[in-house]
Amino acid sequence: MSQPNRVVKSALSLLLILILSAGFVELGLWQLHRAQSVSHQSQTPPEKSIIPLESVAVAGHNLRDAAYNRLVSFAGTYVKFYSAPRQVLTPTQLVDLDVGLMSLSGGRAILVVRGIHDQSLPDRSDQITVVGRLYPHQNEDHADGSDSVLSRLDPALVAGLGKYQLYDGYVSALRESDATGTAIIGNRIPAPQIINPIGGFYWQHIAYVITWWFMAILVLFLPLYSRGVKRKVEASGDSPEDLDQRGTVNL
Amino acid sequence: MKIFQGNKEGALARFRVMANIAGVMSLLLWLIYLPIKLTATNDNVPTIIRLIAVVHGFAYMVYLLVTFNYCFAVRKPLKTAFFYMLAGTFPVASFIADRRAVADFSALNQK
Repeated sequence: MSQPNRVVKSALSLLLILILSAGFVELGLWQLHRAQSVSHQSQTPPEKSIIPLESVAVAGHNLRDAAYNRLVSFAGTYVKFYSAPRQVLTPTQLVDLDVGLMSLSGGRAILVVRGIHDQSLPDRSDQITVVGRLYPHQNEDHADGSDSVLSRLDPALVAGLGKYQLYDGYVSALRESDATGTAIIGNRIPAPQIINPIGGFYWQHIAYVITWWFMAILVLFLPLYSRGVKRKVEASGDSPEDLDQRGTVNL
Repeated sequence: MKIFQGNKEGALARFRVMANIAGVMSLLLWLIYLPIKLTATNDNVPTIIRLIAVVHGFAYMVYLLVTFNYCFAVRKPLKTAFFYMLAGTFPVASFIADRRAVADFSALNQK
């Protein structure tokens, strides 16, 4: 091989090795960030104070990330009631939920999960104040829907009612009270802060970080490997041509 | 014990141990962990199943080390070393690599 060709070949090999090594380092960093995310997101953030719904969300607009999990309060009247079957209360427990569409001032409305659908919560049409946690709308159907059954907790399903500017997402009520301040008693459901599920868990990602970075180091050593093997073959007295016959394996 | 020896036999013994461990972990990863993870709702995978991926990750790293050591000790060409290293990622492949390594090693010693 001529000198310029050899230089070009060496430069290309070096470039390939650097690209591969950088790629493995980048994959290791990606896994490291995932490990850090798992570590952060597995901790429930401290609870914030209760705020009016309109201060964190706007009817007719998508919910901002900052609005999720916030405890909000608002007052209005229920205009329609639904059941939402087969909702996941715990990983092993499915329940039917009692859901109401609450009309607020200014032609706004929001879906409110009142509690478990077991007749413990009376359907009321008077002014009610709700304190609850704001959640993003669901995307997956849990059951077949109908006029009084919501297949998922999503205001898009009640958009056909027409005259309301609907809030995105829904509120899971922690408590309701009437105009006199009397609490409405019923079987509520827990409304914990949701934690974004991130694939894997901490040590799984750390294992991959180490593996990827080890691969990066290994790739950097590849030119030395070939040179080392050739030197060993020469030192043992075999010809370099014997190298391929020394057990080249096609797996 | 051969796996603690610094010679070619030691390198082969270490490679064989790790090839079998990596092979078993690959089988568990592909046949148990991945189907459960891919069908789980909200990434709800039991911790004991997640441990399969963790152990596989570390086992594969050690497998790479001993493969590198073995291939260098018996002067395997880079291409062969690469295939041996890759064998740790597929179920059964590292068992085949183990059998081939033993066969190659016997053939080398007979020369």
